[in-house]
Amino acid sequence: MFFEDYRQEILEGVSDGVWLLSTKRPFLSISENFWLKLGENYPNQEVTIEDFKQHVFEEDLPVLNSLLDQGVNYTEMNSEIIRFVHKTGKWVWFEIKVKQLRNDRKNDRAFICFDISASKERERIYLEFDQMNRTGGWLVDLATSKIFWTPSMYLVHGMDPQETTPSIGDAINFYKEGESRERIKQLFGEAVEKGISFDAEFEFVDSLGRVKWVKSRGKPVMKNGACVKVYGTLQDITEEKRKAREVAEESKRQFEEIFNSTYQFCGILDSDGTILNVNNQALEFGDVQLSEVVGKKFWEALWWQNSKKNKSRLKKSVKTAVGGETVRYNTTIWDGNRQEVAIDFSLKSMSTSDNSSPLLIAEGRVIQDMIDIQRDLETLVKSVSKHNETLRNFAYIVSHNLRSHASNISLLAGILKDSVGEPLEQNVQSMLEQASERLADTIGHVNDVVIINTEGEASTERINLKKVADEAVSTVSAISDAVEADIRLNISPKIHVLGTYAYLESALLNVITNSIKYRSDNRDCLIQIAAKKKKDRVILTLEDNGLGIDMKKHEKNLFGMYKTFHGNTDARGIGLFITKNQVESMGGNISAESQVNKGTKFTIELVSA
Amino acid sequence: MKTNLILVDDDPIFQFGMQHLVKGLAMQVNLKVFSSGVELLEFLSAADPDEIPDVILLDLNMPVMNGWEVLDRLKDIELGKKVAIYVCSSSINPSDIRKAKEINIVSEYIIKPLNLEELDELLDEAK
Repeated sequence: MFFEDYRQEILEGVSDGVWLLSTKRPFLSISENFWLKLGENYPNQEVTIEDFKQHVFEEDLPVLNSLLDQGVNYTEMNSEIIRFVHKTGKWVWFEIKVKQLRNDRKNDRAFICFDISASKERERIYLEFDQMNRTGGWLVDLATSKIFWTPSMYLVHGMDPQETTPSIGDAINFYKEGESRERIKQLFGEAVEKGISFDAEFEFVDSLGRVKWVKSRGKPVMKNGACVKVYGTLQDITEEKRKAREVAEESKRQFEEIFNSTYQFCGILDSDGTILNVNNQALEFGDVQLSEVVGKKFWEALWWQNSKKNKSRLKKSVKTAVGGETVRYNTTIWDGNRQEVAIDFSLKSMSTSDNSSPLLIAEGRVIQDMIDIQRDLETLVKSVSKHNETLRNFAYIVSHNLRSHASNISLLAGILKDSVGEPLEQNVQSMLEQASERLADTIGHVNDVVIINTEGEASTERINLKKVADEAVSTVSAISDAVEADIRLNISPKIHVLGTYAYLESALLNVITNSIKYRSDNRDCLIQIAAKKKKDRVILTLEDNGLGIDMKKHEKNLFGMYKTFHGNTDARGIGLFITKNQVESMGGNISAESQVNKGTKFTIELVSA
Repeated sequence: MKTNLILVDDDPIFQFGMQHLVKGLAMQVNLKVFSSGVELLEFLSAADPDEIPDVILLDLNMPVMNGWEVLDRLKDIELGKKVAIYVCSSSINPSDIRKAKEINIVSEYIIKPLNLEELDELLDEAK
């Protein structure tokens, strides 16, 4: 029996171990290679069944027991999987095939063992991966309507892997009723009917009633143009969704915080200028509620109702900003009390995540304080430069006019000294008197100007312009009647100005007498006096048809001290200088236009009251 | 040979003073007085060669045509001989002095009043 002699060796060669069980005896005959698999030495003898069971992982003992049960009859090669414990303590997986031996001892059996630890280990790792990903795998065989689930599938469903795999209909009912369930039905249907793969996220309720988010992927297997199977994965993405939502909520919270805590006014607009959001600062400033402005066009909101020009400029700016250009300008808007407030306004586009038409960010920063300061500063600069001009005039008066009289006095005094004892030249004394009088006059003029500049503003009152003009005209009537001057007064009695009565009268008198003094011999003297209101100013004009002044030559000196222009010996060049000082001390302004031999027009701007 | 001196000044007191000073000079001086620049220019345009002045004393602050304008006109007039032009003003304003010194035809800026010695020296220099 050649084959019989080598039977054991052959068996050991094709398997990882063989056991033999004889019906009559409670012993097992174990091949050497099996023991090696367990890391044990070959005992070189049969072992008792009880001893052998020591090497089996206790959970699998029932399987071993049934294999060894003599009552069970194996007619075909059956196989079971049993875990044995290696000498080092780890499992060794065996697939064990049972063979009923065909000999006279009817119940003798051979067990042929195959070490499947490597593939079991891989399976275990895959399962761990699946559990780590919270991902299960599934397969639906359309021919049999049978469903196969991987163990992780059960975990995603909150089920025990020992439970029965549900039917297709039951499996679909785990998807949350409504949108999610309708969608998975549709996608699964399309996979079956049209062979289209799917990959989508759904809301899901597991068997324990926990609401989850799942990512479900499916892929059809086609055969001869028809779908025969669909397989796919189901991933529990609840945690990821929760984290993403938390991140989104946190960044939204941070945005709201910044949006509402900035000192700037801030708003978000649609590309057509519709208000989407406005921060608290802007709402409080305009004393409006968010609900009142959201959905409105930006330019229809309260802030921009102060002027039509403002609205149309904003409309244009929205278009420019949508085109990608940043718009920025200073403007005024209304606050809740409909008071105009100056702001630094800007509008820029903001790209959106879905690349649709851009949103606009509108920003505003109140700069009223800055503007007020700037205005005060400008007023101050104006006033300082006026004072500076007065000072320069004074310097000129002192260096020139006062000195000229003083030098004359000293000249005459020298002559007197030289001529002591000699007959005195008759007019030296009168010249000396004249020079000292002029010196006194000039000092008087300087004093007048100092008073006007220092006390003018203190004594302002509300003056009826017509009344003071009437009085000035009647004061000059003696000279105007003498030369038959025609003075036409056209001032509404309603016009009032802020100023000093005496200065206003003096200014009018001075200009009117100038017009009479410098009338033309070629025509009747005509003086027209008129006034009109312009915002918070009153524009008073005095126009004559006299000699006129060469403005090219004299414009610079017209209102200067001791400037004369016509060669009249009685001209002293003080009138217009005083007039200018008086008008300016009332917060006004005086200017002149003139053409030689046509006439002169003085324009006096005053503060309306 | 008499020295021709012209004074252009609208101030009658200074005119008088100058006439008085000239009388006290040792040299022979022929003084002409004009109250305005216009008069001076009219005179120069019609003057005989022996009437052309050796020295002009020119005031600055005068009505209608001031000293500066007169100087501006004088630049363009050919007088046929060297004429010493002195700006003679009571102004001690530095800008006036600076401006006068920048004009080529001006010999000197003289601050009023003027005494006999100064006038004598000035006429001497001009010779």
